[in-house]
Amino acid sequence: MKSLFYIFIFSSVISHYGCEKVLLEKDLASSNPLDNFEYLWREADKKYSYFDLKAIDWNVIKEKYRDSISDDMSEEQLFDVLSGMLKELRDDHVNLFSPFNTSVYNASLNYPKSYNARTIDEHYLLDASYTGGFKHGFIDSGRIAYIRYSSFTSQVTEQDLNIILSRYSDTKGLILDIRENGGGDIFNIPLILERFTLERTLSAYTITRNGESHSDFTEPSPFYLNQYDDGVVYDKSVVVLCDRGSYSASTFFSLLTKAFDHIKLIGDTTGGGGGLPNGGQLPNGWTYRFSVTQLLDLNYENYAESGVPPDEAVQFNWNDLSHDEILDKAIIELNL
Amino acid sequence: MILKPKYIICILIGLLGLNVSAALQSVKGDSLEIPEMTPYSLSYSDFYSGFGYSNITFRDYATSPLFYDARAIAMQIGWPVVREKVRMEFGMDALAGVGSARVPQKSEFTVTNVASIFSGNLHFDYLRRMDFSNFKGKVWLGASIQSRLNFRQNRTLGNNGTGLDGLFNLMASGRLEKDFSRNAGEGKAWLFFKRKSKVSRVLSFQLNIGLLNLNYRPGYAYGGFSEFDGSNTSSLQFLLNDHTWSLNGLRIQSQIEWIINKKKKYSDRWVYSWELLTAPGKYEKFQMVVHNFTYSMLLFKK
Repeated sequence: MKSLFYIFIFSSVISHYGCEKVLLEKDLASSNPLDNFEYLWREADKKYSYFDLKAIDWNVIKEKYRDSISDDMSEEQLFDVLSGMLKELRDDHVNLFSPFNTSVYNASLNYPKSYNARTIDEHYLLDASYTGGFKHGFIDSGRIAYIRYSSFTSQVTEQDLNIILSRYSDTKGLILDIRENGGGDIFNIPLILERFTLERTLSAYTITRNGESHSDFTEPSPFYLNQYDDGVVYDKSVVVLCDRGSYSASTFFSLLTKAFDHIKLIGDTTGGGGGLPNGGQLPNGWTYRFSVTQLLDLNYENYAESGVPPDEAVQFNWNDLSHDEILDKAIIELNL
Repeated sequence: MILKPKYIICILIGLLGLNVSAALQSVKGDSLEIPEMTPYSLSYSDFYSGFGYSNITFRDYATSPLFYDARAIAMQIGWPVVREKVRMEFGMDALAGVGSARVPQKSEFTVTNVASIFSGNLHFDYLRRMDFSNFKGKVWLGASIQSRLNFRQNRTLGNNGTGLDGLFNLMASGRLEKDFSRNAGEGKAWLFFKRKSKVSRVLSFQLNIGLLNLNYRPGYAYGGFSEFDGSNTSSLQFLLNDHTWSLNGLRIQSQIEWIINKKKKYSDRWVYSWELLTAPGKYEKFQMVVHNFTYSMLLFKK
């Protein structure tokens, strides 16, 4: 009987290894170029959020690039084909990451820059302070506060904002400069913007891809900003400076300002990037990301992906680096 | 969050401390030591606590077609209560490990995708003893309720870098126990050594098969937006906003347990367990296999 018991246990364990093989399906790891091409195309087809808005025929794109795939191509050649296909999406939230290269669309290169840090440092902000991720100081003879936030990846703390906003509580107005801010953590958006929010405000909507069809999306989900109750707020006029380099979280931020009468957006149209980029992995181990959501304004209009237009469009004049025309316009606006 | 070696060492030291203190309790404390009880007694209750090593393999089709293999440390505690006809056990285990994707070996370049996983499982077994006259061991049949929560992180997947899976199962459960105890003086002599001491030993095998398999998995796009309530929105809330419940999938567990009692102050409990689970969810499958080797101390209570 003892031996039967042993045999039973042994055979049960062995049979479970068999179960693993059957129930887990085969290992899909593959360095075959076509496997990886098909996988990437299919994942984007299933989940990318801007096909219809950008009038992209993804099947045509597949045909265009499929012919460049061959079994004997090198990994660098495969990367070039795959990144070429992804660049057709015209979206800086679309990237392919390999051990040797990363594909980037670079939408901002299609437009002139509108920000020169040295112009501000030399001619406006002569005695800057640095608090956390913010550079700030008085301008216009102390009448106006200037705050530079160069990246939404920089951590925002309540203490930093309390220190900064307390310092400028007696100013006539405040300028928040997010030009060339390429985005980062969207959770930093409400942390900053709620310091200027006087009451809970519905500010935008978002939709998320939820089906195989390119037009399958969730119902619009509201994006609220709340009134800040626990510290210093700034309730005077605010101007936000933006440009084509204001991408992703900066585009999000810029769109949300449209819900407030006392916040004005000045500069150039933002760079876009209104979709939340989600990541994935190819059978060869490379990773990618692309947008899976869309950002809508309060009228359900979808323009954020191609950029949020400013309330007042002003161009930076690169022939005269002693002046920042966009900042000048903001100073005039706040002195009205 | 990737577990650094120093944290793994700290956790191991902590687990060792837990076991040493449990052993000291059994030596000094009156309430824990009952020499007459053995793992094969008709009626007993006990407590076990231990640690071990796990191999975890998982694949989440929502973000990758690749298997990830992780090496993990394991911690296990449980409270079995055994009566003549009923066996109940409440237990939990926690696994914390780091691993990487099984990438194709053909690549000229090293692809590094490191993922960390923390997985916790709670279980409650309720088994009734069956009488089979032709088997000289104990046979138990009943049910087990299990809930496993996984927290996975892989920075290379960007906004999809954090994975949260909830797997809840009602399982049919069967357990065989066989006594291999030896009285003093019994046993074969090995070279110059002759076994004389009395040893209580029990080998058991338990198999659980999922009957109702419920899982909580990410939505269609894995991550996305639902209502965003400004700075009141928590990261966890944002992460879970599109998760959906599904009643599908499969879960199988088996466990071989060897309990040996020489000193009667505590028993040594060696366990090898194997678990396979698949959770197709509403959109994309999640699969996981755990091989777990643990040692624990089994303390009998009054």
